[in-house]
Amino acid sequence: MDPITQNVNANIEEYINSLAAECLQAQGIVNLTQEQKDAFAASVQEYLSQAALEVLVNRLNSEQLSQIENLDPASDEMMEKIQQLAAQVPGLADEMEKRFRSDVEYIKQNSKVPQG
Amino acid sequence: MAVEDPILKLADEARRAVAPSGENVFKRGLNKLGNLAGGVGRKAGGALGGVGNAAGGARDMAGNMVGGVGHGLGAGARAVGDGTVGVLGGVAHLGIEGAKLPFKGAGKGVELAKKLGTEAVIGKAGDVLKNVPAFGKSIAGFATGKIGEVGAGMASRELAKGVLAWTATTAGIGTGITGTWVGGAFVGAMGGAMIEWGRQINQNLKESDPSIAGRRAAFLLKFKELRHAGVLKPRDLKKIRNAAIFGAIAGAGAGALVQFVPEIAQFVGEHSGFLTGTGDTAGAAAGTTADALGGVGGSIGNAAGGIGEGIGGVWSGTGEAIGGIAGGAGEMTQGVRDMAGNLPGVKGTGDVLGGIGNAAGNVWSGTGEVAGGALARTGETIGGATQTTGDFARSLPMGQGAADTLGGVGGAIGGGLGQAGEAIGNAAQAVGLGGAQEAAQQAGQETAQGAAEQAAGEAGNTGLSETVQAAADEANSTAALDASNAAVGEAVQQTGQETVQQVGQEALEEAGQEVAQGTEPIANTMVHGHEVAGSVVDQSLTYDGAPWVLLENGTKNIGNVLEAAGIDGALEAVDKGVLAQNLQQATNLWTQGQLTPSAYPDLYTLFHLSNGTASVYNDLLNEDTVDILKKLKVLK
Repeated sequence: MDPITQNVNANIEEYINSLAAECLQAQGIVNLTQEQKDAFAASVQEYLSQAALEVLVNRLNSEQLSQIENLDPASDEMMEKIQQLAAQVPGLADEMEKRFRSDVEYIKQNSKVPQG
Repeated sequence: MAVEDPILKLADEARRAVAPSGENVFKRGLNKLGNLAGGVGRKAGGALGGVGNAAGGARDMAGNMVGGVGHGLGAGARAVGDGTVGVLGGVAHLGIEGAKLPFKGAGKGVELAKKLGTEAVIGKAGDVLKNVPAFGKSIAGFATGKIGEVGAGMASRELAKGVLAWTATTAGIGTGITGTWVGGAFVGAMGGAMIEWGRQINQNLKESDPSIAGRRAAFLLKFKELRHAGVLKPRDLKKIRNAAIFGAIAGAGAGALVQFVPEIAQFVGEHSGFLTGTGDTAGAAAGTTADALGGVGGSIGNAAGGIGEGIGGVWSGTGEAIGGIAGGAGEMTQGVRDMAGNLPGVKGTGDVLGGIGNAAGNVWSGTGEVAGGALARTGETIGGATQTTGDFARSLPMGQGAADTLGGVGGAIGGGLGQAGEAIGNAAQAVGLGGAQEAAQQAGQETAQGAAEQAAGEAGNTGLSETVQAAADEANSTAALDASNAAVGEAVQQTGQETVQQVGQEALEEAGQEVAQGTEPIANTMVHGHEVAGSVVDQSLTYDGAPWVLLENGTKNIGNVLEAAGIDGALEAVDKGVLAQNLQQATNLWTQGQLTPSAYPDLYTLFHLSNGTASVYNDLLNEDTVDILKKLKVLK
């Protein structure tokens, strides 16, 4: 992985971790045991990962979607395509963040991860 | 060629300035252009720095960063010459004019490019359209990378904003660079391409396809099922998430290009005067530097009473700091070069972007190297000159002399920095001399020899005389010493003193110190913390209890002198008895702090020849030393 990608990925990890940490401050979560908190944080992170993919896919047009529909989800080619397509969607970063903020607020208010 | 269009006239003038032979650099191919740009990169530093500043003004965060580089490069430009700045200002102005064109219509840019003989650029520009996403990713990837490097650790919104700001600035810089070298043709084509790309992706956004909703849901469901089944691991999902966010940020960066290119071009166009004002910026920087050096000169003068290593240490640290700054600037320019270097990675655009990338990369690299090298050299010069002068000062006979010598530091610094501007050197010298004179008064009648020995003693040197002699030797071997000596002479004349030696002698007489002439053995004597005892004559001389084989070393080293002078029968010519007597006398004088080059030049030479390290021989292996040895009757 090139240094730039590594650096960006580190920033993204830090950002997502900060969102999960924010969720742990929810009223119904803050008093859980550390083990329970760790499990909750992991579920928040996984949910936000799915949310990122969902925001992207819902912005792809037919031709773009066809480029990834039949790829192995865990393949490097999928990662590459996802990245390339995400770069082609105007305003996607802003939309993703709105979605993340919305999800975090929901989790903080309801002390649970939305059912996906 | 016939020049009617004012823009083309500027281009022609600029081209002739860069290639005085009249060779059309635009027709030599983009790779050749890249090499040329690299070669001229040093001169372009000021103009590019100005562009960086102008663009930086448009976007605060990135602007500040690039602005800092711009200031540094501006100072470098001043050293190269104001005339160059003026020429490049004209070239950059041409680029700005060219950069404006695509926003009036890309076709105008193409037309201009064709006039300038850059068909190759235009011929490939269409390929950019096909690869814009990758291009955008490259740009934004670089941008996010840089932002990450400055430790922002931002949340996505801030990160995205940072990307926009940085990319906008990058676009501004790119406008300046590419505009400068291809007369706006590249920017014209690229700007048109980017706008077209923006139009296309917006068209995609509006696409309405009801059937796609089911396909999207199925795709997402597949991920959830695979994750639920454990086929997809959390790390896989993270990778996908990161790829999506990375791409989104990259898209934001690319979008920013589309959004801001016109704005930046407009801004730069409106502030094109800034480019020709780069010399002013550099001048201001030089003025600031001169002020700083003036202060430093005063500090050096005031520190003259202390004489020595403290000053050298401070200056060494300063040199390192300057070197560090240069390194930082180099890294930043390297980062820009990396960005440019990424451009040709897109298949199909190599011919276009490769040449421009090379050109931009070489320009920045060359500029970075010049700035870094100049700063590093300045640091080294300052550190070296001051260290040497500090060491030398310790070996001088009088505090007055040492102070005057330190006054000469201003001259030495002025010489070292003369490359960066004569005015700087003059300012430093003037202030340095003033401070030195003041310090000289403070130094009073304290001898430099005593100070040197004290410094050596404090440093825990076991070979005191070696330390002093080595300092003098090192000082003698440097150009800084020459400058210092010149300054000493000047300072002495200013104060009505004929020579430093006279000052030293007078001071000695005033102090009522009698010159010891004896050759008796030395009783146990503490010389700045070190015990010296015994006799050279019967070879019982010790230093801190260990044998001090002055006579043996002296005989051997005199042999070396004679051999170097081409005198046969070297060792047989040495009268060891006379040598021992002379060395005994010199050692006695040394223990009493009276063995100075001004008071006892011959014994001083003999003593240090006999006790010196290998480096001492280099300056003593000559017929002058032979004459001294004959004068002392050491040679039969």
